[in-house]
Amino acid sequence: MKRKAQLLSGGLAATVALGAVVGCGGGSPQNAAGTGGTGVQKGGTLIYALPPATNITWYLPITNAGNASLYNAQLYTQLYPGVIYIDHRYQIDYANSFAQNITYNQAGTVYTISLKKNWKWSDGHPVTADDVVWDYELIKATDAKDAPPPWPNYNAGAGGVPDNVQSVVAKDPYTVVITLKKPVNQQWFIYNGIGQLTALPKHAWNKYPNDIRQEIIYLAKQATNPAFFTVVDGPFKLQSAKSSQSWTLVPNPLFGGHKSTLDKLIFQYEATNDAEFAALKTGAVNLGYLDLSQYASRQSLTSSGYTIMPAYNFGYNFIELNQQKGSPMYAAFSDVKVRQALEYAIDQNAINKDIYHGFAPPQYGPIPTTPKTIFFDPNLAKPLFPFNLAKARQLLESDGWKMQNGVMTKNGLQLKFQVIYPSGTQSTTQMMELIQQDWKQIGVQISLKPMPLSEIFGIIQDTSNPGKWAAAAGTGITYGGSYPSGEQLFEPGGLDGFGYDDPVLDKLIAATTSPAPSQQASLKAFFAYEEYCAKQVPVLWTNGVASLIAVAPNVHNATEQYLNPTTGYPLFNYIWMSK
Amino acid sequence: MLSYIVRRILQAIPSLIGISIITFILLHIVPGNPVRILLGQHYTPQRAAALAQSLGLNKPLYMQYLIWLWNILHGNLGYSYNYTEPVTYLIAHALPNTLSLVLIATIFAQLFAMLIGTVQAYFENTIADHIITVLNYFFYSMPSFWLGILMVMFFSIQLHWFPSGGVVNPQDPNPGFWDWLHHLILPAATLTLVTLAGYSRYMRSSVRETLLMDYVRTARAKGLRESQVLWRHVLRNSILPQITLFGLSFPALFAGALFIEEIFNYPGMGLLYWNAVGTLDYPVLLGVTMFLGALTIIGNLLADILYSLVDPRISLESMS
Repeated sequence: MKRKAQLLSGGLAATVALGAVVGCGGGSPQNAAGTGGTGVQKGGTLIYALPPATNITWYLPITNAGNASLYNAQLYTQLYPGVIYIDHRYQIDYANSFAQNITYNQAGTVYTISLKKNWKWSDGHPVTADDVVWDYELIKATDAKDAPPPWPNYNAGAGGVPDNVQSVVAKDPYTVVITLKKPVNQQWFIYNGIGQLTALPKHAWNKYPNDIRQEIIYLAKQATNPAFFTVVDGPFKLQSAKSSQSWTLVPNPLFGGHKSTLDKLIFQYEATNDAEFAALKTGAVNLGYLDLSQYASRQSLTSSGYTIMPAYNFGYNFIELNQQKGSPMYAAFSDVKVRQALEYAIDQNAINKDIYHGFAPPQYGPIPTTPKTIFFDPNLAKPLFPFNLAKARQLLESDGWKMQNGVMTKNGLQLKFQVIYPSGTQSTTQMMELIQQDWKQIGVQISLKPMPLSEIFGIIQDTSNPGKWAAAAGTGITYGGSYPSGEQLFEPGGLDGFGYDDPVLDKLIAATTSPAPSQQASLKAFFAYEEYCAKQVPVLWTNGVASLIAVAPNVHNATEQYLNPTTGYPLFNYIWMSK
Repeated sequence: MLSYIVRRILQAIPSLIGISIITFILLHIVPGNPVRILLGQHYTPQRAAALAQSLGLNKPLYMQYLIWLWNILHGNLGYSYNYTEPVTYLIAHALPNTLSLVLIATIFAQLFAMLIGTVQAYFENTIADHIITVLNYFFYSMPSFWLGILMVMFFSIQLHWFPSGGVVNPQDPNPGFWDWLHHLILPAATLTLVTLAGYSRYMRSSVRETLLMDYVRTARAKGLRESQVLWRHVLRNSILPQITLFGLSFPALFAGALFIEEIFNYPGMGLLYWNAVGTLDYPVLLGVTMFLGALTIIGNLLADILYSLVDPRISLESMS
């Protein structure tokens, strides 16, 4: 699960989505030509714009926290695809995975991964179960408490890897068997645990076969060296890498999956949004983005045949309320009625329409309505807390709050506090000002303080100083391919809502990670968690903001399916270009 | 001459140490923490502690400074937090780009300034002088990023004459000199235009003063052609202040290239510095600042040497 630097207004915002495209609300792109079967032409250079100041710094699929950026991952997954691929509907897509299927026992303790037999490394060696097992051994070593710098691996602990793993063995060259120490929900483990696995070329990289510690030191040193990554099993090979300039990939002819017809795929560095916009206009970039602040200029692109499409990632945005003991608003924010009243008083429809040009659908729970996935509980299709100031005020009054001098007050505590939010983005400021005005009408007075996002993270994550902040806006969570249950979010110590603790929700979350007899049963437990969580409002749900993608007229298959904004990991090998 | 140069270099050392101390302190009092920025969404106190330790940021500030100083004395500017590459490597890759941009812009700005300044001084208070003055002030007052955007809009987007950014065409596996030059023209022209005005105003004043000198009157009285007076006697003496200006402004041009490199997506020192500011990449910020500090001192020294070469009346030994 990834907390994202989400400047709600910017194209930067839904960071995932730079490369992503979604069909919702944007209509069918004219140039999104089918599925690539008929009429596919060979050749062409797809130039994909990276957002400002995004450099690719790390090429190894196992990363440390400092290098765990989406854009590093977007590149190295072209070289080293994961054992499983999560598609734009947030389901496992075996056609584009190295695994051809995964079976498990009913207890959820033994998982058998059958691998495809036709995959080869680019040097001709077969890709085997040993390569996956070796990857796990590296993950385990990089997760160790005494792992040498720059480790540990940032993903430590997700899906119970490696703590809950008893063994990972190659049963035969194309079968990996994982045995867990204690049973877990199978879907949860497949997404969070097996989802971390990839095949790495053991025959080419294993320099210290008897010393895994030396090996991870060695690999960490090579991780920033693009010249090291010559043996790949993905759809592309890295041809050249120039920091702050461009990263050029060419198709890997030995790739076992869908082969790219492109001549080249270039990740193009962009210093500013303006530079990227100019590059789109001159054709120097043919798959880019339009920052929401540049929305008014969209016609100059569409008149050249570009398609502008919204891209929604799978996650949620929120205003975080400090519910730690010691928080200036502890008594108020730990009261569910106050949180619900505040939610009632956020006009998400107006925010969507007036600020985000209709590219920010309202959101009332941890699972977004857009993009559509099986994880969205149909019972939540009707908003739980639609904008209603009268109801908001009524709820506060029923809870004992009284309006005194224009501010709701209870036991001497006033609903008057400061909200910090990321600076530098006009639409985030506009959203907060709108909320400020609406809340004022129900007797909640807030002052707004913009500050750099890193500072916000620093303040809200410093649990030793809970008195330093009351509420923080403008950030969000993107699930990024992990199972969207709440154990890392809403359990005590989770990423969201410091201080939020509800034993009922904890139990419901635990149920989502416990073994289930079927996927239906698994979803039933998930919906129970989702509904309760949505009602409890541990954080104030806010609009899910899209990024805008600009696709040149000669770029085809740049669809939701292949650009996959849901997770942020595009299948560039399906995109083709016409002459 | 040699002893003068050595003495000047030795005198520069305390200045550089002073710059390093001030920069080091200023950087560390800027709000924000590189560890928090690096970890971003992956921040946990444990990871922060581990990362701070691995970067040496858990040590007292004076200790960090002394370690940095010790490393720099051994030719090691440290490792970038952001790129996980040596700072010397990053500077070595960015420097040629900026150097070519700044050198070309400076040379053209100086040449045009000499021409324009001389024309203005010679035809003082004519319509030509007034028009050039207005144009000069126009470009002088125009922010470089704004002019850059206008250049891109006109020459790249409208006319498609030049690329809007980059240093070479990424699609070309073996870009040649012309491709490089093609990418350089717009940013260099922008930098030339914004710096030209300053130089030409100096040149105008300098030529005006020289034109009033006795030796110019004498030259004319001798019956020399006006062009000979101008080239032999006026210009040669008028360009002396330009040389000083060149030495002093060279580092400033590096800094001025920052916005231009951003607009034109040009991977030079400015862009390197810009990215480092965003992530509080201390080693890069310190490395680039020290480099510019050293460049200022060298620029001054070069200006003095050039001055003595152009004007025989000036002796560096006597100056020292």
